[in-house]
Amino acid sequence: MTRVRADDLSSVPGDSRPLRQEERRELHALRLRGPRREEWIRGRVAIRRAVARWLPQASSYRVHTEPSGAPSVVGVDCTISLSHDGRWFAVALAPTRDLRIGIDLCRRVHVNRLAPILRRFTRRGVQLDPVVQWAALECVLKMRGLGITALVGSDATVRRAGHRALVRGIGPDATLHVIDRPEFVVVWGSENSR
Amino acid sequence: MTAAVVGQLRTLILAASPEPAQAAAVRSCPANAPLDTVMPFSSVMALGVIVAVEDRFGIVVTRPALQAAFAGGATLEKLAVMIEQLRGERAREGPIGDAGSR
Repeated sequence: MTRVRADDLSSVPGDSRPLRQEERRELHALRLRGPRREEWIRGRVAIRRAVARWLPQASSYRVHTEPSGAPSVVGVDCTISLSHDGRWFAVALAPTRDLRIGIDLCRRVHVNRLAPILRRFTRRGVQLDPVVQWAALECVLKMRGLGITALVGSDATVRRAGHRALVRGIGPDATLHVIDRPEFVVVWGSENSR
Repeated sequence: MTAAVVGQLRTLILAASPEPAQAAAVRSCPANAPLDTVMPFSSVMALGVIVAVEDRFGIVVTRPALQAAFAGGATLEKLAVMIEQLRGERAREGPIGDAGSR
C-alpha cells in the first residue's frame, strides 16, 4: 500500500544538522547553494519523517541520491518519491521495491504559468485545470524515470474523474490519485516495476 | 556566447520565478553553474523560461536543442549557446521559418 503525505516544512531549519554523514557528503558533492541547499535538506527531512511514520521498525537507513537526482532509501525495503514546491513537501512511500511510484506537488500559484507551457509543449494544450494536468503529467514522467523533454510534442491526454486522473499517451495508461488543497494539488500513482 | 544574452537570461529567469527572492542568486552566479544548484529550478520554472526565451528572442526551441541544453543540468551558458544556435539557424532559413519542426 502506497502512503502519501504533504507537509509545510518551512519551520524546519535548512542547515545540515539533520543529515547523516553520507548524506552530508552527497550534499557537499552536489555543491548546492542558498535556498536550493535548504530545499534539498528539507527533502531529506521529509523522507526521513515518512520512513519513521510508516516504517517504524526501520532503524538503520539513509537517504541516497541516485545519479538522476531522485532520492531512494538504502537499508530498508521501500520505494519513495519526493516532490516539493515552495514550502510544501510531498512524499509517497510504498513498503516494497516492486513498485514504481511517482508524486508531484504543484502550487496553484503557478496556474498562469502552466497554461502557456501546456499550450506550447503538448499537442493537446490545456485539457483541464492546468495545475492538475501538469501535476498528472509530471507524476507519470517521474514514475517512469522520464525527463521533461519527453513532454515536448507529446500527444498525451489527461482526464479527470473525481479523485482520479487518467493519463494516456506516455507509455501505458496510468490511473493516478488527485488530492486537492486550497494552496496546491498533489497527484500520485504507482505501478508494478516488473 | 555573448554576455548580453546571458544577462537577458538572468532577467528572464528572475521574472519567471514565483518567488524572485529564491532566485536572486541567478543575478550573479557563474554562467557555467547548473541553475539547479543555485536556486530552486523546477520543471515549471525551466519550461516557463523556455517559453519566455522563445518570445524574447523570436526562436522556436526544438526538442533536440532542449535536450542538449538540459543534459547534465541547464546552465546560463548552455541556454545562451542554444539561443545563439537557434538564432543562427533562423537567420539562415530566412523570414519563412519551418515552424513545424518543433
